Amino acid sequence: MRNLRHVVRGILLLALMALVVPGAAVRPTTLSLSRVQTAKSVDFDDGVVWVLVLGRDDEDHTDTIELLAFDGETGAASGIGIPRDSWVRLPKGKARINEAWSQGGGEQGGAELAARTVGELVGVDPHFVLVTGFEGFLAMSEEVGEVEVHSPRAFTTDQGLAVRRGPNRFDAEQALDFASSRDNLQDDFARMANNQALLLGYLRSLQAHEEDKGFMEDVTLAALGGLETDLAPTDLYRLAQAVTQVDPNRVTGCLVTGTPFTTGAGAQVIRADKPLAQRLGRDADRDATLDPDCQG
Amino acid sequence: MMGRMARTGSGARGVLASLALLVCLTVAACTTDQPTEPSPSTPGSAALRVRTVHVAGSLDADAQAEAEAAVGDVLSGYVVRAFLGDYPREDFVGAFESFTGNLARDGVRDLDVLTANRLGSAETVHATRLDADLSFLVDGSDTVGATAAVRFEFEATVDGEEQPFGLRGRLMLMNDDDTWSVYGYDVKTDSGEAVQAGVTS
Repeated sequence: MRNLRHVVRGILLLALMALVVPGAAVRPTTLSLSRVQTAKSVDFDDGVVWVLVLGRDDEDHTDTIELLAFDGETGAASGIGIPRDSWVRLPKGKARINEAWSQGGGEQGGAELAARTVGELVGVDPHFVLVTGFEGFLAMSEEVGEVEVHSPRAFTTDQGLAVRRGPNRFDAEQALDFASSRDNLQDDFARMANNQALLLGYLRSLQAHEEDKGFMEDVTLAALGGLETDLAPTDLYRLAQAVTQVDPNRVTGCLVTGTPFTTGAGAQVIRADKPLAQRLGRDADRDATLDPDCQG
Repeated sequence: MMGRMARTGSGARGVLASLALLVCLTVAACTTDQPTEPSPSTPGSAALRVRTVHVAGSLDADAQAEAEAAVGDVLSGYVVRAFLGDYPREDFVGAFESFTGNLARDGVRDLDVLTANRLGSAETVHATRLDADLSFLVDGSDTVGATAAVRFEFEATVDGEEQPFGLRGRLMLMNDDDTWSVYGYDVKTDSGEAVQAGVTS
């Protein structure tokens, strides 16, 4: 429970009276104040909930791979970014991790293979998988409305949008451009960090509007159309409401780093730092928080 | 009658059930934007007014009326058990009968916010305003859930003094096989506890 106690009546009025009535006789005045208490809870799952978020491109590569952990009870949340070029073993042999979804046949099979592959790397089993493509992302973003994103860096997106370091306001198209741009970034880790910043921006937007009548229902309806997930509609609705319990000040994000190398076939890929990934997984699995140094 | 009768125990449960039925009957007749007159059998107590303010998806008139009535039943049961009944009383935990399991546990933790527990020693409690604005989520032909934006206001009599208090915020409901339950809340209450402070001017 968030117990906030506010003095709700009388103080301003009395303060003003004290200021504007000079020389008033000294006499006791009785204030009648009341206490306001707040409470919020959403029944979703006990403990830390793991959600694998995949953003796929038109070629069915899931270039955004974010493993999110949150604990509705404590309001803590964390995100572990997985490099799309991580070289992993898939059913058809070694491949980039961003091919797991398509190798699994997309939809349910793809989600399961992606979850299993990411799970092996990080050492946790995602409870739910949410997959979205460009169109689904745009539909959901348009429903949420403008989003304020604190960009970790200044850069120009692939579509020519000038992003400044710090707060930026994006519409749906600009948000997609921000999330998918890589041409003017130093490396793909910078894009991954941008994705985490965008997710945090959307969390704040959800919370800013959650009390607007019909807002959460409209957003969930857009998510039902824009996401591919094994979650039942009722559970997706509850998940959306549960996420709003996260305290943005208790959100941490880390990236799994790795060593670039070139395969025998000439593909430039990354050998992900699996020990680091697993330390991060263990760290967040305890209480949905990550050490600020991202070393697990 | 409402807010001024019965006690704890099985007799009280019967009375609470009657009160819930009474509020439900009011709700059933209240599926439009128009407020409903207080029931003749609950003098001085407001009736629960339920209205649909938003539908995400598509809901025909019959389905909307059915969903409103079902949600109204849940809300009325909660209001009666959480705030009304015969005072003094102690059995506020029964208010969470329609809450999901984990939420009922949290509800017990937040008992002083979600119920009139802190005013259990009052002589009477009656409702002065019971409004619920519903937003439904509909997937195809399935009514998935709803948010009830509630504004409940009450007046308690404590030591002969009238003491207003209220609850406002959101109750989140889901529909599982035509059984509606509350799975979330985000509410605030004016506790009604007056704090006396002396100021010299």
